[in-house]
Formats: sequence, C-alpha cells, structure tokens
Amino acid sequence: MTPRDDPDLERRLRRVSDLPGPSVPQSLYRYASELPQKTSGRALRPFGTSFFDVRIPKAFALAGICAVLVGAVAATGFLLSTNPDIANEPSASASASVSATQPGSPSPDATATPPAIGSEWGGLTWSSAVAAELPWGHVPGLMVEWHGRQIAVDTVGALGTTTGDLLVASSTDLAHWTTLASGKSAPLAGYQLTKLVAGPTQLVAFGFNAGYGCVGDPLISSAQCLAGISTSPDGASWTPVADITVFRGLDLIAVAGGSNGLVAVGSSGWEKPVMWYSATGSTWAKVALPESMFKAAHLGDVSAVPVGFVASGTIGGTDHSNENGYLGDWGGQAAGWWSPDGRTWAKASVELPQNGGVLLGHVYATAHGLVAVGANTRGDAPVDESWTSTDGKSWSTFTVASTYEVVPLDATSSRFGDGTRLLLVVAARDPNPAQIWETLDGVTWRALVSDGNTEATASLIDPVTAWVTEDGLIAFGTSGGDASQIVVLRASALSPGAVPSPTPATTPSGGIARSAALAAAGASSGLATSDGFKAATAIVVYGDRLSALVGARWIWQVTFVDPKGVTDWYDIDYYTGEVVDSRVGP
Amino acid sequence: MVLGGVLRVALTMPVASGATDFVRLVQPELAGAYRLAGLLLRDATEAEDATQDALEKAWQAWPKLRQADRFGAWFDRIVVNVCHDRLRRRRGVKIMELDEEIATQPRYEDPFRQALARDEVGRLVRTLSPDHQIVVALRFWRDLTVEEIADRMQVSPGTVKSRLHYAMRALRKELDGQLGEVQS
Repeated sequence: MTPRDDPDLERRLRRVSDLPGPSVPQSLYRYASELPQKTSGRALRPFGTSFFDVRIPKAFALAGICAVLVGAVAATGFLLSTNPDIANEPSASASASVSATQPGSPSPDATATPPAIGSEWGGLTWSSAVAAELPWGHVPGLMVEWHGRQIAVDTVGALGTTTGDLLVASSTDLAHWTTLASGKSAPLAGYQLTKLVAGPTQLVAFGFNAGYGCVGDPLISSAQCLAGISTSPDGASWTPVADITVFRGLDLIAVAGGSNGLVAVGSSGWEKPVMWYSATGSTWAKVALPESMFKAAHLGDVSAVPVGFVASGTIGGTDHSNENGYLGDWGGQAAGWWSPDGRTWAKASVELPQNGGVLLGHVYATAHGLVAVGANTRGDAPVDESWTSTDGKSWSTFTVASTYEVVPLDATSSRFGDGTRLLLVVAARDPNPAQIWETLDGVTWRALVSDGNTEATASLIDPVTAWVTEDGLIAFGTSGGDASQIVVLRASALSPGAVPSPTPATTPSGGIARSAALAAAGASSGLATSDGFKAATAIVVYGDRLSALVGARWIWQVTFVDPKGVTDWYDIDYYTGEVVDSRVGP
Repeated sequence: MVLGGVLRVALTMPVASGATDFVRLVQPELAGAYRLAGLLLRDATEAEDATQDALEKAWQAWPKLRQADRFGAWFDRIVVNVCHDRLRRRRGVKIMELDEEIATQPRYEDPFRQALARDEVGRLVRTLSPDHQIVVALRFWRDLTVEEIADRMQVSPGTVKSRLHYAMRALRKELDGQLGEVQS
C-alpha cells in the first residue's frame, strides 16, 4: 500500500492546510533581520568559511575566526631593554599593563570599534569607487587568477541561483569584464560549479549535482556529488574530462592546484580518506594512501604551498555533521600530511595544544612560512587553533588565552592569502566599518583601516570579495547603501612582505642573543625615537622574535653579542623592514 | 593595472556570504516555516519559538551552506529538526483534562489548533510518532514530493515511503475505528 492508495484520506489531510492559517508574527521578521547583528558574539559566531573550503564539522564552524592566536604573551619587558636610557624612562613602567593588548589594535576588546578613521592606524587609503559592470548581475562566486587576469564563473541571474546559464568572464580590474564562454560553451552546463582551480597548465572546473545520494550532506557540507570536470587553457574553450569514474560514489571535499599538479581530497565516510592526483586536471587517479600513515584519518582540506602540498584534517573522532548545531566534542587529533609532488606523502608532526587540537585546517603561505588555521572543540566552546610551519612537515601551535586573540571576531569575516601575506576581512557591522587585518607570518597582525569615505566605500565591502593585486588591495563593495550598486574599490599597496635582516656592524662572534631572553631580563617596553620615548601597547613573543607594537608600528629587535658582552641591537619595522633605531658597538 | 604576477590568489568561494544575503534569503521562507511548525506543534506560541530556534541554528550553520538556491530546503530541514525535537520532548508529557468549568470559560483559541480541528484527521495526526507526523506534514501540508521529504529528513526516499505508508495506515485505522464506534 502506498500513500496514493487512500485518496480520501489524502484529500482530508490536504484540506487541513488549504484553508487560510494565521499570519506570521511580524516579530519573526524583525528577529530574522536583527539576528546577524544580535548573535555575532561567542555563542553564535559561524566563521566565514569562504576560504575554508573544507568539510569541517559545524561545531568547527562555530569556532569563529579568531584565526591565529598570539603566542604566550607573558613578556613583561621588551625592546631596548639593554638600553639603560630607555629603561629608566618613566613611561616604561606602564608597559606591563598593556602587554596583553591585542596586537594590531589599541583595544583589548576583540569586538571593540576599530581605530578611528584617519588615525595613525590607517594603513589603507581607498581610491574612488568604480561602478562594476558584472555580466552575471551580481558578484561572481568563483574566481581565480590566471595569467594576469581574473577568471570568474557563476550563473547569470539572482544571487545564489543555480538554474541560470553559466557564464565565464575575465577581467584585469574587476570592474570591466569580457565574456569568454556562456550557455552551452560554458563548462559543465547544467551542473553547479562550486570549485574552480588553477592547475599548472590549465583551469579546472568541478561541477556537482545537488541532491540526495552522496556520502556526505549535500546541503550543508562542502562534500558534494561530483558530476563532471572540465578543463580550459584560457577560460574560453572548455574540454570535459572523459573519465571521472575514480570519483564515483565518493565525497570530493577540497582541491588544490600547484606547480606540481592538482590534488583532491575526499572520503568514503568518516575516517575513510580518499585522495586523487592529476598532473594537468585532464586525467585523474587515486593516490594510494598507506594504511599506516592515514589510519583513521579524515582529510578536510588540501593546500598548495611553495614546498608542495599539505593535506590537513583530523585523526579519529566522531562525525557529527548530520546533527544541526552540534556543539559537543568531536574528538580526534589534528593531523597533517606533506607531499612535494602530490603523489608521495609523509605524515607531518603536529604539535597538539594543551587541551588537544582537533582539526588542522586550511594552510596559507606567508612571507615567513606556512600558517594553518584549524579548530578545537574541546572544552565548553569551540575555539580556533593555529599552527605555523616552515616546511609543512612540522607544525607548532601557539597556546594562549582567548583574550589574546589577534584579530576581531565577526560572524562573516573571511581570510585569504596571496602567498606572502594573509589578510582577514571582517564585514562591516553597524556601527563598525569593515576591517582588514594583515599578517606576514600569521602571528603578528596589523589592522588596515580605511582612510576614505567609509560610509560609501570601505564600510560596505563584501568580505568575501577582496583581492590582492600588485597595486594593493581590490575589493567589491556597494555604494551608498544601495546593495544593488556594486562598485570596485582600490586601496594603496600593502606591506612589501620582505623583512630584511640588518647586517651587523660587528661580527657576532659570540652568537645571536635571543630576543625573548632579553624580554625576560628587561622591564622596559617601548621605542626611542627622535620625538622621545613611545611605550609599546602590545607585545608578541614568536619563537625567538620579540615584537612590540609602538604607536602604529610593529617593531622587532635583533641583537648581536660579542665575546666581550658588547651588544649591538637593531629595531626593525616588522612590515617594512626599515631599521628605525640601532646601537652598534659599545 | 596588472593583477597577479607573483601574487597568486586562487579562491573558491561558496555562494553563501554575508549577513545581508542571509536575511534576504530567509525572509521569504518564514511564512512556510512558521506554518509548518504551527501545524506540527499545534500551538502558535511554540511555533514562533521553534521558528526562532530554527533561525538561530540556520545562522550558525549559514557559512556551511554551499548552495544558496537550496536555502528553502535547507531551512525547512532545520525547522523540521527543531519541531522533531520538541515533539519528542512532548511524548512523556501527560495531558490533563481541564475541569468543565474552566474549560468552558472564554479563552484564547490557538489558530493552528482551530485549523487542525476542521477535520478529525487533523486531530488524529498528533497520535502518530514524531517521525510519522513530520512525514505527513511535509507531504500534505507542505506539499513536497517523496524525494524532497527525503532531502529534508535526511533519510532515503524508501524510508519516506515506508513512513508515509505506516502513517496513513494508522490514520485510516483510527478513522475507521472511530467511525465504527459511532455506528455501533
């Protein structure tokens, strides 16, 4: 018997709802409108997973985007501690009380209003907005840099629609676009394109079927049913990959493209990892994963980095991804794997936080190594964890109190890297304008605050559409509060990235004194300038590099000690590499 | 201006983005969600609470939504889960009959209860298990296909058919039984 066999009962059931029912309380509409503003705090703070293209548990998604936690900032003394003149300055004694301040922000409150516009914190100046002519009718969802151009793909029509025609277009300024392919000439017409990756020689697009039947949850996880792959050397002509049977029945979770090929990771269920490799994107094969190396692993992401590829995820734990709003402990331990070529893998050494890391997340390359941002669901509330590595083989974490969160938390913030710097964009939330934070190592952050007309430009930046160019930062935004008027905003150049080490005037035959040791020995904190002494407002200990926030600059110090105990020291602007002060010789 | 160079930005972005999109997508779904919750929970106040719960859960999970055009289905699923939890919690609750004097006093009539009272079958749905109530509600009050219901309940279409079958059979049995009592 099927439901259709009792038409009388069906009719009577339908009649119950056919008649007009009560109207929706207006309070619900208000609640929905105000919800994002009301719940941006700790209890409800889904982080911007825009660039966290991994199948992470929803509890992880609640972890917020505190991103990289500062190292143990227990230092009570700092720069110039070997300089008795500075150490005796009256204001130096006040430095201990501010040592816990967020780096990059003058306020210890992670949700505080950012520095005032036009203050010395202003790091970016936005140029005039240019109205964007977007062939999709909205900001495209997939975009990748390809041979000096941005190639973007999305469906034409209302934002979020997947039933319209796909359109591929290119641009060099984000404002003006040239259509490369559309309709039947677009890749994988009829499917949803949710991944677009730049491989060594061609672009690779992944099309998916939305619907029931995959291993994972097609609605709220990134795992989806792969329907097709298409490649293109130029974004205009697309060639379907003939054989994708190696993906059949499996979750494809993340794909990364590098100079050595493309790597995709996925699963056939929790703790059942799968990995694929392709030299060009045209033919794919499964990578044999040694049981001993990948036992009980769940691969959540893969990243292309200068040293090859890093696959990241967790070992052990329990899959709760089908439980809406699960906030408990997922268990498991953060784990990573490294490969120079995408085919041969080695398990990385991952230092676990004191309370146990859960997920090694997406990996970003910076000027000073790799940064992985993951999550930890141990304890009362999920928190983010972060690791750094110079080679992808060994990962070290920072263990700090949550009050030392570097970057402000926001429900819709997102982050992106360009291989040199990692930027975090925090969406505007009335009354706060959008904020952009920059780091060259994942540890020390500085706030880049718009100096321009925040009402019309930077305050309305869409956090998922900011990009780094050779000229600085470029972003989509909206103009004058009109969400339909999309403009392109440009900002002045970012930090150069390279931080040169000073050449000591005297040969450091006695070795290099560790800055951290100086901090422990000293009690002062600040910087001597031509204008007098300036107290540091934040201190960060990172490895053997001690950095202090002095005014608007992050300063770190290199010291050299000769056998006679004579110390040379250099105070260096962290971001520009400029030697702002030094003492050479006795 | 030349983009890129050594600065390579390769991003794949989901459709879901900011709070504005969330609000824009959720507003059209509220009426259906509230109505579904009301018919399942038979209480306007609890329906409002459940819809609020669903909104919060949706906002929590919003960054993980990959296909904005399926927002409606996704939000439906959350509403269903919230209602399911509430129905399950109710199962141990004993309903006390009011004294006749109190029961006959003028009082607030819940609009959902009134709607369900239009036909005896509406009242009988509450005798089903939570899973069976939901499948009936989605099929006949939300007018969804078996596949769509499977999507929202995270079960296979076969399971939906099975639940519908048993739910309808139970309702028919109750109706026929009541008819028999009246006739006798």
